[in-house]
Parts: sequence; structure tokens; C-alpha cells
Amino acid sequence: MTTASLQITNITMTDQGAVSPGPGASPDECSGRGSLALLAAMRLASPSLPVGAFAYSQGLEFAVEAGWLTSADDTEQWLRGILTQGLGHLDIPLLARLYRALPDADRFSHWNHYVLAARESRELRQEERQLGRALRQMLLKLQQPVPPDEDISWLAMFAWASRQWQLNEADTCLAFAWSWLENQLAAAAKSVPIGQTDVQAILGRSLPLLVAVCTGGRALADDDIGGGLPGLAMASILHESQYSRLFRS
Amino acid sequence: MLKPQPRQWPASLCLELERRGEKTVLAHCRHSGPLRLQRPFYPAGPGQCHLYLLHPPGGMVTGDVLDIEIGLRPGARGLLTTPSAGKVYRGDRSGISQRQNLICRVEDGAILEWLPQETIVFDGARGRAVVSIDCRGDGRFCAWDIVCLGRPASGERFTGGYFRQQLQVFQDGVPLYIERNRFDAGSPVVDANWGLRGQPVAGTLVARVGLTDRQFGQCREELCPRAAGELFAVTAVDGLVIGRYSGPSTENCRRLFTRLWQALRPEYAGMPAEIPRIWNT
Repeated sequence: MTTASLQITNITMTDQGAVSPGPGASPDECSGRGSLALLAAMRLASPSLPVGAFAYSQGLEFAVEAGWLTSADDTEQWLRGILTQGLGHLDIPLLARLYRALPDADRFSHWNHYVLAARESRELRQEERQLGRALRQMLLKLQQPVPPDEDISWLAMFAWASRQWQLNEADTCLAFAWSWLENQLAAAAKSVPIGQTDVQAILGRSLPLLVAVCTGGRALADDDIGGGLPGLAMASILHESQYSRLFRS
Repeated sequence: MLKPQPRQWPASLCLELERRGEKTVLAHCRHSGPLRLQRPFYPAGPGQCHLYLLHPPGGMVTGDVLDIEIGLRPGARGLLTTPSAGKVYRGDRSGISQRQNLICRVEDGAILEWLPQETIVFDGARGRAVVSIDCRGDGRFCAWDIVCLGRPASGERFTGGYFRQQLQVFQDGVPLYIERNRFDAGSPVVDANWGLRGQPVAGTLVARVGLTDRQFGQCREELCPRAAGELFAVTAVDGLVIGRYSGPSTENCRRLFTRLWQALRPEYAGMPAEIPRIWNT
């Protein structure tokens, strides 16, 4: 894998991610590595990343239709459950494996297929693929290297891009979990609906859980991977034939 | 002080089905411990054999390990089922689990049907069950896995222990479907709507079958759950049809899965489904 290097006035970030202060930079300006990493994580987690994540609700819209979610409290419990059981046992461990697999193409490809296989509905696989493809396209347009396989999951491309942008594994996982939660809350704001203050309150209360889920998920052994969410899988399948929808299927 | 040794009763069964001319024959069968296979029979003609898998103790206790390997060589067709529900009994104090592993290999042109009766997980059980299907080339299959946590008929809820369940499919070594459930008593997964929704029964049917959108639409229309609290959902992706059930009744789950299987069978096997006689007894 080749990686592009970032050149910034006072700081140089090399292929290996090492940062050296440029000439004339004061120590205060040059906690450079941390600042750049933070910005790169924010860039990857930003809703302005043009991949179309906002178009999907991951079963949340069906959950509203079914009367499972009627309030901000319901929404918070729903999201905390999925974070703990789903992201903590599946998404984060797989993201960490994809990240560690690089630059080994075979291992990366194995975990990419694993991600797609672990999405239990047509809609969830379609979302993985569309977001993955969109991020791959974006890197191509930026003339950055991309994985050869076009059948790529969102999770795999997220790991790829974070390597590309020199994020470490911990920040990669946090960025992913954050963007997932923010996106789900945006969907909840439209469909439950809940207010912007509720969204902010839930985000705030969820921060320690995001950290715990990422720390625990990264440490999980292969045998313990997999946190099935049977109700969510069914909600996602039933959303495929739901009569009226705001979100894609 | 010596610790008491945990009781172990391992059992294994390894069988191979082979196509000889028009007939599918049991080319190889080896077993050890309490797992048996009834003599194959042919209610739907010589091409496909029906096989009943027996576990005479009737259920798994702490320390039990059942290993089952099923191989279908090119062109062979086999339907395997069980004469009664599998049971995972309450575990003892040792904390050791009860495990069942089913590994299937379906070679090019072969068709496997794995349609067992449900697994009943008693309160306090520590069960682990794996179903792993490896398809090669144009190998096809239809498999289901139905689990009932606790014994709702006698008012027993699932309040202690766990059941870890894996259902996975590979196509020429590449993962195609992976479902891994952790049903831990007392965890939110038991009652939450993203989990089991407070319902005791959960089931998944997976089949390797390509359907047109129209065929799939018809199939989905016909299958609707009836009972209160029931959900039934069918999706089609990557050459698989996946059906899911969540609700109060293993019988309703089996009825819906049977109907889905009957709808799919002409597409992947070119002939209608033959209900195993043992289901009617």
C-alpha cells in the first residue's frame, strides 16, 4: 500500500505517520501530531463526507412505524442497546481487524467479506456497499490509493481511509462510533421525531459509552465476535417492504 | 483437594452422501457415543435420501459435546431432520458449557436440506450451538435453526444461563452469511425490541437460491404471521433467501418456515417439497 504524505506549513506528516515540527515552530504550536490526528478523525466522522449515510435509518424507521420508539427515552435506550450489543461485539471488532489487516490485501479482503456476510438483510448490505463505494470514489477523485476490490464495505473503506489519513486505531473506532450515533440521531430527529435538544442530551450522555464500546470492542477475541440483534435485523428486513418511507431501502 | 472431574459425554457422527447413478447413497457413516443415524429411506425417489438423526439421551447436560459432520459429494441430495426437539438442560455448578457443532460440506451440484426440530434451551442452561455450511461451486442448501429459550408451555422463563448460537455459510471459502447470537439471560437482548422482544422463540431459515424479484415478491406476500407479538420477515440478497421469525410459538415458526421451504424448493431443487413423515407424528 502506498500512502500520500501530508505537507503542512509547520508540520510534516510522513508515510509512517511520524510528525516533526518544522523550523521556527514553538512547542505550543507543535503538539502537531495530536492536532492533526484530531482533525483527520473529525474529517472522517463528519456528516459532510459525501457518502450518503444520511439516507439510511438501519431499522430505526421501521421501529418508529411499529410503535417501538415514541419518545426521546425510547430512542436513547434503543441506541444504547445497539451500541453495546451490536457495535461493541461486531462493528468495532471488525473495524479494528480491518485496520490491523492493512496492508495485507488477503486479510483485508477476508474481513471485508465477513462484514458483508454479517449484515443480515438486503438493505443493510446495500448500505454497506453504497457507502463503501462512495468513499472509494471520493478517494479516487482525490487521487489517493484505493483498494482494488470494488465490492467493498463501508467498514472496510473506513479502515482504509483512516490509514490513508494517518489515524490511529483507537481514533478510527471512536470516529466510526461517533458518526454512527450522530447519523442515527439525525434519523431519529426526523422520524420519531425528537428535538435538537434531545439529540444533544443523548449525545452528551453517550460519550462514556462510546469510549467503553470502542475499548471493549477492540479487545474482543475472534471467538467472541458477533452480537446478533434479531429484532433489528427483522426491522431492517420489514423496512424493505414498508409502505411509506423517508429513508432508503 | 482434588476437584471432581466434570462429566463428559462426547458424541460424534460423520457421514458422507454420494451420488451413484440415479441414487444418492450413504457412502460412509461413522459414529461414536450417543448419536445415531436411522437407515436412509427414499420417499421422493432414489435421487434424494431422507435421514433422521437421533440423540438417544434426548438432550445435552453439562460437559456434553456433540460433533456432527455431513458431507455431500457432487450431485448428492439429502434431507436431514430430527424426530424430536433437541434439549439443552440446566447446567450444573461447574460452569462448563454444553456444545453442539454441525459442519456441512455441500459440493458442486449437491443439495442439502437441514431441517431439524427446534432446540429448547432450559432455564440455567449454558449452551453453544454452531451450524456451519460450506458450499462449493453450485452446491445448494436450505437450512433452518429454531431456538426456544425457556419452556413457555410450562411457564418457565429463561432467567439464568446463556445460549450462544452461530449460523454461518461460506461459498468456496468466502463468508456469505454470518449470524452470531449471544442470548444471555438477564441481558437487555432478551427483552429489547432490537433483540428477542420478550418473545421466547427465534428462528432463521437460510437457503441458497436465486429468485427473480417477482418470485420473491409473491413468496413474501403469502407469508404473514398470525399470532399476537409475532414477526416474520423474508429478504433476498447475494443469492440467499433469509427468513426470520420472532414470537411465542415454535409450532408457528415451523409452520411458516415449512411454507417458505415449500415455496423455495421448486426453485433450487426442481421439485416440490416432500414433508418428512416424522413431522406428522
